[in-house]
Amino acid sequence: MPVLPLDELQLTETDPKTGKLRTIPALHPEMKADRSFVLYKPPPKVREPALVEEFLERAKFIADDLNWLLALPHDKFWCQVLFDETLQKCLDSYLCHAPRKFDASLDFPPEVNDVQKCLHRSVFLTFLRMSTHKESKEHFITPAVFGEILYNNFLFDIPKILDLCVLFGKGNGSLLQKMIENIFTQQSSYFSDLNETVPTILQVFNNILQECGLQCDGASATPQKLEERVRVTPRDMPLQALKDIVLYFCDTWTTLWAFLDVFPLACQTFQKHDFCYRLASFYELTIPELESAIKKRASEDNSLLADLWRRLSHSRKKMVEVFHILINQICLQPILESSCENIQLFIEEFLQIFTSVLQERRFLRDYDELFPVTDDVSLLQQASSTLDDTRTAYIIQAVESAWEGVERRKTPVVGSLPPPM
Amino acid sequence: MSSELTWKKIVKFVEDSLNKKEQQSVNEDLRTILQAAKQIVGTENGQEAIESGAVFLFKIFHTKECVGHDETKAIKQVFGPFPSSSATAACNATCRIASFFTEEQLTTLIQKTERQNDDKRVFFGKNIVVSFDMHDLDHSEDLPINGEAKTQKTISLDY
Repeated sequence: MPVLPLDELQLTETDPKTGKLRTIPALHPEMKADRSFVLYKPPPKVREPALVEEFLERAKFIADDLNWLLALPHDKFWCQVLFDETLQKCLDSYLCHAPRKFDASLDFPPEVNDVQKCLHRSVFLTFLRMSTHKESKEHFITPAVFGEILYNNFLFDIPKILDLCVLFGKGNGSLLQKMIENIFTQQSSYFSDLNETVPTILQVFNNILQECGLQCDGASATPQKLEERVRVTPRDMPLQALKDIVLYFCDTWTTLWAFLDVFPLACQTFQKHDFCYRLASFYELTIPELESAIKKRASEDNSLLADLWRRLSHSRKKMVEVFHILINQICLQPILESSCENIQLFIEEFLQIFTSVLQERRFLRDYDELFPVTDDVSLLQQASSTLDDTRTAYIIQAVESAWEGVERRKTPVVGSLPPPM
Repeated sequence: MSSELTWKKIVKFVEDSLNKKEQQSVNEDLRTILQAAKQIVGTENGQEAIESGAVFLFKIFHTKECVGHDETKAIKQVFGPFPSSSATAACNATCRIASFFTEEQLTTLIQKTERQNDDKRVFFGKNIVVSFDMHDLDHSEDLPINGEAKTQKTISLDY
């Protein structure tokens, strides 16, 4: 029998009401099974038996339902995905509330870990199946229609993709990369959505700056009016407020890094918004201020301060790595792969980006420590015989100057192991 | 969507259930259904497709006495335009075969294979190894106890 894509397939079945044969599309709300997926709640933070029991029951319930879903034939799976709102809400709740390893201590009882693992696997496989338009030679969806289905039914959106990267990117990077590449390939509107999301991310930077009393727009240049509320800086804000900022900071940068690590094709879209410059400038304003605020509170809760320091150091590394992923994807990789005539464009982009961040001395030092700028410049020199030496020398000199008066560490700061206790 | 009921299963069901004389008569009708499927499906899709088409015809006609509007529509949806004489021949042949069996026997034949098909369902991702590993905080230096002497820029008073 000719094999039609699921979106064109019609089913012939007996109408339960009339007993007559009828033909309906394979993707039809009536083909959805009655199933009510429950919302995910994270494991309890305290080992209260009743709470643990409640969590286990709920998690097992979801895992069983998702396993049932994964065992459904192709057409039934898609009917459930498209027409069962409870399923989408359940998946969303997992993405939002599943514990991140960097976010909380995962010291749960063994039975909680076991069920959490089952659930983690089932959720990932569900998203994997949802991002696959061709399961087999017989079971597939027309690629263009697949793209529309994903987008119009909000099966994936940018925040969900970010969450998927941070939750599953570590051990399942290559599969996740294929999933996300397929989603963006089949539906180019996701690139437009990403383009609209970047200003929101930049707004997050502004919010943090505002919370820290470091607003960098024109307003900060004007003197503060007497009746205005006194700007609170990280140094004098309550410890809890500082903690909130650092946790938010850490979550934001880990998530962004996880996304770009899995899907570097997004870099172009980020750089359309001058992201490299914005990142460096944000780094310069916030990192020294937050570091100083943590160091100066030595008399307060030491374990909390140590934890905040660790998160801030982690965030620093992620910011520097994000910058490197962008530089690598936008300039270095194309230079390595390009034919001679295109190279100049990428070299120019590299020079422009670095020239724009030269005044961010602290950022420049930290970046240079992890990814020596001379190595990249050397690559440019090898790639182009017509490279403007004056400009590269200017950049190298600015990097050197950023190190003046600061002792270079032998090993990278952010990558080093903690000294023995 | 069609179940995994195959043409071979229908033939075996007939062979196992009927005596030789009845079988001869039914074999003729089975050939008619297969021939009708050939006309409707077309020969370019091969024997497997023809047999799948014959199963489809058997399933939609096993409870019918004539080709109605619904059946016509169902065949058209799957195969496109088709010769009505072939559908009529398939319907009549199926009807004659069905007359040798009770409704329960036929229902059992179809539902049993559907149930077997359910049992053989493959769990999506059964063989995929999913890692539970997650991004964690990177190692970093400890919080300096006494300020930031080493990293602070020295201030020169030599104007």
